[in-house]
Amino acid sequence: MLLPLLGAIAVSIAVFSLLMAIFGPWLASPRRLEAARAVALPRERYERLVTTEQPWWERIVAPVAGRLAQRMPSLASQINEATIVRAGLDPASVSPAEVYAAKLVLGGGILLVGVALSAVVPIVFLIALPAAFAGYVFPTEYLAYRTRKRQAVLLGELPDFLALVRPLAVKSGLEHAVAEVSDALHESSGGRHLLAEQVRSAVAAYGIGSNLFDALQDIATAADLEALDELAASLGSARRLGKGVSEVLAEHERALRDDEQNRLLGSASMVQPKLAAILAGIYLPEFVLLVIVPLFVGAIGRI
Amino acid sequence: MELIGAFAAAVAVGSLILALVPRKADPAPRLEAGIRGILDRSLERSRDELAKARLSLDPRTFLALQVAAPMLLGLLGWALSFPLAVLGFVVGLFAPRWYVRYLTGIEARAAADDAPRVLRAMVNRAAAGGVYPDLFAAAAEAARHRWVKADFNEVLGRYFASEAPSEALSEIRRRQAGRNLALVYDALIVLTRTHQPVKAAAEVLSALGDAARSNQRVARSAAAESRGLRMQATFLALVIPGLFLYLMLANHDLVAPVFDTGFGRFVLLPAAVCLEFAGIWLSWRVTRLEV
Repeated sequence: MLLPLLGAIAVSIAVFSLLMAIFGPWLASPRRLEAARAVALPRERYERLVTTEQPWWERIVAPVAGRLAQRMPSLASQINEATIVRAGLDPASVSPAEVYAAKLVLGGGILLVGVALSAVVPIVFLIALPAAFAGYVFPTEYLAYRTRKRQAVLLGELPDFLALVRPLAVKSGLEHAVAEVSDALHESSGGRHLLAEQVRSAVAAYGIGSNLFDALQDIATAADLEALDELAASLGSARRLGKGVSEVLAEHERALRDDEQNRLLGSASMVQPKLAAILAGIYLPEFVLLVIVPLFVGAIGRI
Repeated sequence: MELIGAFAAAVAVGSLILALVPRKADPAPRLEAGIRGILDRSLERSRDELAKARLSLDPRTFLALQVAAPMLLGLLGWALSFPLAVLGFVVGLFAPRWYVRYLTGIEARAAADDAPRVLRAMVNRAAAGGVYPDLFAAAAEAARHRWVKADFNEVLGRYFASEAPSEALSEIRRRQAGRNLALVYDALIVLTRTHQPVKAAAEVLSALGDAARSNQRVARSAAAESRGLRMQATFLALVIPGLFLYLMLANHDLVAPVFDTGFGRFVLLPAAVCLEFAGIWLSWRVTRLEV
């Protein structure tokens, strides 16, 4: 079975190379410069020009995934634009259909490779099944991981941001202080301060007439950040009721720092069980491999 | 049956190749630009990391080290067996960066203790009147850690060299690995950018004192918790290799199959080394308490 398979692969590569040598020049895509003359291009050449911008897996799988997603909405519903936004990606560059396509490519691809290799080593198929499942869930799990990481960064930056805004808000007003601090943090971090970047977008919305607190609530919803949502709501009601904004900021800053302390205690309490799991799952097998098995092998050798 | 299978395989492979064939007319410049982009990003990241670690090493040299380390460790692993060479290569890929981060973390934690002291000194100087350079000088004077002292002295020097303070502060802010000092620099950047008078700066910096103390409290609790747990993790990581070494020295015959047989060299030893590395890495991650 192995030799015919290898022979078939070699023959197909040879035939493909021959065909490409003959028809290659006709298959070549138009150059990017030709985009300027796109109006005069025949439709099929224009389509080829546009599709070369897409990665291969997207060209092949995205249409299939799109149709599957339409037929089976329950399968595709696990990915939506909000999930992608929360992970810090732009849905315009990574669409839900593409994420779904990536799931199918990984799951299906691993399964296909497993099936192909099972012709040589039968046990590979058994390994390929869980690996294909892992590949299928990987894109969504990766998005979830990015979301958690992003939320943790935003939550970590929030108390220090409030610590900077609070004294300045007393002097120059909340909106002005928020704008100044977010601008300064954005520039000093070279655009890496995530919260400053988000707040700047809220300030920009405020600049074109939106309510700052509503805009802050919007970014809190987009990032699924409850602490920021509560802060924006509290600031909004404080402004309506005429309560001091500084007290609200101080209150929230204190609450956020208490939460930090609680999170630290919570994660510290989880370390012992995790270390026990590492002992049982890693060091014990290592003990077996380094000590028990050699003793056993040595004893059998002596017998 | 085999003929059908071979035919199906040929069709499948042919279709796959046709699907994967690069349809771009000019892939070369893109590939070159891609490689250049990766190199530029790596250099930029290396520059940041070296600046944070205050290492006067050229980013290109650091990049070369990052390339050389996996090869060196791979060769060392090769001396024992091929799986160990692969493991050495993988570890070498990350080792230089991990080491620099470890060094930076230790120094940054020590430097962070200076933040409340520096803040207090600046508030006191601002309350007594003066201008921004006086605040920087007071901070440099109060600082005990060499990094903090050097940074504030640099700000002062650049101020007297007629550089805009917010620009100098922004550049030095990027070197701050500790949260508290970053907060101090952020405050100074905001104050200088918005041209706040020194009296206002005193109020702002004074209000930051609570935040800095709170951050320090959390960081110290994390460090204290983490220290005890890391002792346990270190003990766990050393027990099995220690026992193995003891057996090797006390009675080599007991563990001889690990080195003297193919099964030992190609299966037992690489698997055990992989488990040991996985154990150390996981323990390190688990005991790193950060909020």
